[in-house]
Amino acid sequence: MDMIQVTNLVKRFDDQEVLHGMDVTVKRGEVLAIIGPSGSGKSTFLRCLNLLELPTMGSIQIDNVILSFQEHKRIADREIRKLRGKTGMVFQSFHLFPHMTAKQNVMEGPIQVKGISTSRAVSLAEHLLIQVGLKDKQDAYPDQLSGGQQQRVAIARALAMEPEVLLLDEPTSALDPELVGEVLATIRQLAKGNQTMLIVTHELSFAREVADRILFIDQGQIVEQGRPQDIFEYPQKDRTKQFLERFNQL
Amino acid sequence: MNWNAIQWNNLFDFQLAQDSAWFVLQGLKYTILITIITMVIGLLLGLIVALMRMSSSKILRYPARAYISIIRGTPLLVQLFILYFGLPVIGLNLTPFLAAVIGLSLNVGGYSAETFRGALLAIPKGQWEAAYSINMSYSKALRRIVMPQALRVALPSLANTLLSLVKDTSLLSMITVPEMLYQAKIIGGREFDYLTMYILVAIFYWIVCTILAWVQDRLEDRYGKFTK
Repeated sequence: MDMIQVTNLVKRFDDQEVLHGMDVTVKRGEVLAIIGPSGSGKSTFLRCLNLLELPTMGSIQIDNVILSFQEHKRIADREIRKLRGKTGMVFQSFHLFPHMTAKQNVMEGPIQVKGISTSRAVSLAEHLLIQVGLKDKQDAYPDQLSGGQQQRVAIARALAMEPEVLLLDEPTSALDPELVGEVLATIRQLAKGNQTMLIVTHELSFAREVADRILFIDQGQIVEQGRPQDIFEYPQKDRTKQFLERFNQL
Repeated sequence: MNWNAIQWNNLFDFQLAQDSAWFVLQGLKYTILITIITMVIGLLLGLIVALMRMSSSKILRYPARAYISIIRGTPLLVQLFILYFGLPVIGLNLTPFLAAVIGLSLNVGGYSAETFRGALLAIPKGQWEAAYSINMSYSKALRRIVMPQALRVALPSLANTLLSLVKDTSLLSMITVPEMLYQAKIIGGREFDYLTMYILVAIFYWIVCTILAWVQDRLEDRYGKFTK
């Protein structure tokens, strides 16, 4: 069974349809980079996967949980949380909890949601903060950290829930250019570690380097997908060529 | 104005103030007790009403709006009169103390509901989303993530509510709760010198409120920013 199978996913806001029936499959351990112009629906697609946005129609299967959606059909919170529990999310603007230290941010989910003991949560958090290179900042509050450091704590916070799938929504877009590298390095390391990931990004060279597959979305539809070198060197569709033109000139 | 003609003793009789201070202070225990009880009940009520007011369900939202509207739109003194003098008509006899606690709690609830609502709305939506992304339930996200931040936002307004409450306890003299103003009026009537007693009561209130404002400053220093 594939890790993720999305079938005919439709998302409407009021009367505006932003996703027009997307079908996406992701294998276990695969790294999928989702690229496309602003407003193409790529972030909405990602947010539908952990149900921060509720899809209007279609179905989502992640690991062994399947949910299907119809208009006006209410989904129970219990069902939402079952699916959401398979995912972890990294946001564009971090959204760390400002009243907690870095370590407390990472421990919060395991203790409050999974109910593991404080001592186990502490060692888990310390382990993860070492992994993202921030052990020495464990007692700092978010406003004492740089953007890059905050984002790495946010990655550790997401990983602490041991998600089957890690969703990253433009994880470097809010960062100063000199801070992008440290976050990309952390993500690169995760990709090597067999973590299934979906990354919405504008960092095309990074997408090309780290992803197993590229998904190009425009106007709420998948235009083209394939291996990075195929997409970047031999794009088939005009829209893809046009989008990649500026990048390829660099 | 002829300053020499003013009889200062008629304005404030130090001897009388000194002699009656202890008697007036007997009322302070009611002020403090009622303030503490009503603040606790009122804040709980305010939080619940704020959440109802923000709910997507009309059955929860409309009663909350009506309640806030009534409390904020009618004078506290009238509310107290209705509770104390009006309820006996339908067979409910409240003691002055009970009427006071109910009336003031409802009042604090109405005002603090709006404070809580404003503070909860001031917390960025991303905080809810981050809490949900680590799979918290609504109530856990509220309790662990949003509320601790909202309380910091609400603290200055809630401190104002507390100071108002302390001073509003003086209205309870009108429904025969023997708090400070009530005690002062007894002596004022006996000695034919209300003004000295009113000024004495004003000084006592000012001292209590100044202490509370000092506590508020300490709390804001401590919880105002998200660092050690």
